[in-house]
Amino acid sequence: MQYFFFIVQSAFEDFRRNKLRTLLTSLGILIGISSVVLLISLGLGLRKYIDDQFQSLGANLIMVSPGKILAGGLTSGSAFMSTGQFDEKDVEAVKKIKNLTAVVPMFVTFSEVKGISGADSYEIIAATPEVFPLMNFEIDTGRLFDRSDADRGNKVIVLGSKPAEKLFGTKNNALGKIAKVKDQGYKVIGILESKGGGGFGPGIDDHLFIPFKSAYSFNPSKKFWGIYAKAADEAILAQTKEEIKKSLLKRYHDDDFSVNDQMEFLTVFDTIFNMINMVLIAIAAISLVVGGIGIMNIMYVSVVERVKEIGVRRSFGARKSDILSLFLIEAIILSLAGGLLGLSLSYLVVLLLQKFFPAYINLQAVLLSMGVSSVIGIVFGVFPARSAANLSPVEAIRSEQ
Amino acid sequence: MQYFLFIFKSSIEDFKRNKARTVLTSLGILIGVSSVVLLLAFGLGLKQYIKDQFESLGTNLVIATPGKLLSSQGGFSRGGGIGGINFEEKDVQLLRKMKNITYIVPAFMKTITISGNGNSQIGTLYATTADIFPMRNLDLEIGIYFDKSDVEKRSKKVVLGPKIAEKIFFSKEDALGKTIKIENQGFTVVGILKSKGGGGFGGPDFDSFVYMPYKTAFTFNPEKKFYAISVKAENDKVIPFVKEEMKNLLLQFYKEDDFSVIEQTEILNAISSIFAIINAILVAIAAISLVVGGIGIMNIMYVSVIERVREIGIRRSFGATGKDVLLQFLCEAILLSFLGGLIGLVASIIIVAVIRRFFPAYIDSATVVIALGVSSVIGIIFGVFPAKRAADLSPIEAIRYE
Repeated sequence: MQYFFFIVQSAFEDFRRNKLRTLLTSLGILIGISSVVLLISLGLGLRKYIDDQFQSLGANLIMVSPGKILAGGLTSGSAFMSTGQFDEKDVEAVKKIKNLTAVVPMFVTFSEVKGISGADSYEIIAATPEVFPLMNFEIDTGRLFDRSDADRGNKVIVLGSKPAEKLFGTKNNALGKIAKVKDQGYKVIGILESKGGGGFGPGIDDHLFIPFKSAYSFNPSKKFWGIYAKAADEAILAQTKEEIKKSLLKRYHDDDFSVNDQMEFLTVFDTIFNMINMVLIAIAAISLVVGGIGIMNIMYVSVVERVKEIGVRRSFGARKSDILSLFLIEAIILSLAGGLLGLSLSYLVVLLLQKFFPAYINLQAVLLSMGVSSVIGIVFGVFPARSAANLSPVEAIRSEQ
Repeated sequence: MQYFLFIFKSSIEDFKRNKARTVLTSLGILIGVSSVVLLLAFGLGLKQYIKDQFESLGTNLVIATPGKLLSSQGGFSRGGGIGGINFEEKDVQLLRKMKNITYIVPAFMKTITISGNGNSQIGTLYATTADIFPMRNLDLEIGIYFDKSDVEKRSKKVVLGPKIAEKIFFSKEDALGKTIKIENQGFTVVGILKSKGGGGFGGPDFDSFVYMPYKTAFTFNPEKKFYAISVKAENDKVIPFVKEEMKNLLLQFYKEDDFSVIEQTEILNAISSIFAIINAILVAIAAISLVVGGIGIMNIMYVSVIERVREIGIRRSFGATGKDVLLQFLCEAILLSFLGGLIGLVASIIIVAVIRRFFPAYIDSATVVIALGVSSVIGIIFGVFPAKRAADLSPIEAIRYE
């Protein structure tokens, strides 16, 4: 170990001799590593964001929808094209299944909604009052619609936090006002608590809810677009799905509907996502290669500059392997230092970002960046180090500077 | 100009003195420029590929779908396709009367299980009229199409896309004339289409559909609804008129919000812009390597300056001004960078030429300009600092340097 310290000390002496050069050389690796780590952390953040959105909807959520959604991969959009839609009988059939804590049929439509201070297009969910506990929604101001609203088909509407602000300015402003959905007036009776989600595209807070019966004018066939159910427990999730499937098969063909749980969607998303992430990181890694070339270039220069020094060291008994270690360690330290600084820089950036986005750096990313920097130092440092080691001591000590 | 030649020659001399160093230094820019150019070429190729796919599936098409498919900002809106409404036969009859159209084709799609030849596959049923084949340029590989009379008679005939035919019968020839079962009803395969490729990039996969006369398909579509009605305009000039007319006719039965009338190019543009954004991000990431390469140039140039302090002193003593020294080193940096970029560009052109067999990637003049321009700029930016230091050396100190 004393030997090791000796080599490290020599390396630092050389760095001190040429501060600017040391800095610039590590800078390349610094930039490369920070971009890789930033990309990884953005990716992790995105994944967490989506995960959170799913989780906040409630685990154990089962979606029964018409058509086959996940069969041919996500691109088989014929799920939406199918005319298989569910009716009251199907809802009753699903309700009979044991171990379901809630069964909520719903109809979804997409329309422009006009408020006092603004208008925008939103997804409007027409469902029974159980939709709120099913999706873990809580009221912020006002109230949710209830059994009596549902039975009478009252034209009342509960807004998510975002539409409330967009359409009426503030949440308190919205209460009691009229929102126009497809030219029909709905009284705002409640605003939901925000579930969060960082403004990354339409999310959970962007929905509006109306009682199912009030939507008959947009849904003349009175059919449901989907049935959501919550299983009592994660352990029986698979079993419950099977039972729902069996029950529906009595009326429909296997292709006419799908029974999915959150996990399936998440898995598909994960696969696609990982592929994309890999590509991005690969491209960022190119800069690491370029940085490594920079290290190699400078090390060659360093060798040439120190030919005499190498000769002297050899004459004092240094072996080839000592010279090799000397230069190799220098390259590795340069690389590692760049990597470490790059990692710290990314960490700071991630801290800043965390206000808007759940990006984070995990242990894997840290180990990866440290590992990669070392490898770069080794791979790109070995060639100059070898040429230094192979110098003939006699020639070296004789050379003019 | 003689002056430039002089500076140019000095740079080349310096490169010759240190061949390995020159190579390594340009190498960084070479790699950076190649990756940027390749990504740009890939993006262009992708755009072309999507365009080709759309065009091969029929040009001048105007499509009516339920719900709003495209949002006002020009991208895809959520909830497209879920509008609550579906088109019916009466809409088709109404639209048939439009001027300036050559075909009108309603379509109904459903996921189905197809059994045949002892195995079952999941596929998509595409129930429509006989005009789908000419309208969408779907050529026959073997067999025949079903025709108008088949639609009226509700004949139990189907035409298979090549992919689904091969999935079930393992070869297209074997599929012809055989019977497939959908929900226990038998249909005769009268024809197999030629492959169109594509699918997956924002377009339906025409090779995998089971085409059936729509009246025959009413057994799977008891409400007799259609999910879209497509119309082929006579030529591209009348497309706006056809769109207007279609909209006005449909507004008689449906509300404005409940449906959209889009021409195929709008969908194409929406998809292209999404891919363009993705491509831009990739290029930006690749550009990071160019910055790193530039830093490498700057580093080496600093070394070069220190090595040649004496030389600088001598040049100064012979009448070179600070500006001359600056230009000399700057020129070297630019040349290093530019040469790296040029070779990188050439390398990318070769790679693209090889890839072209599989993918329509191409390099356009804008890409070339960007590649060469950026490499020069990098040389200037990262070269100017060392060059300034060289120029600022006191001539007396320089010439005295050991």
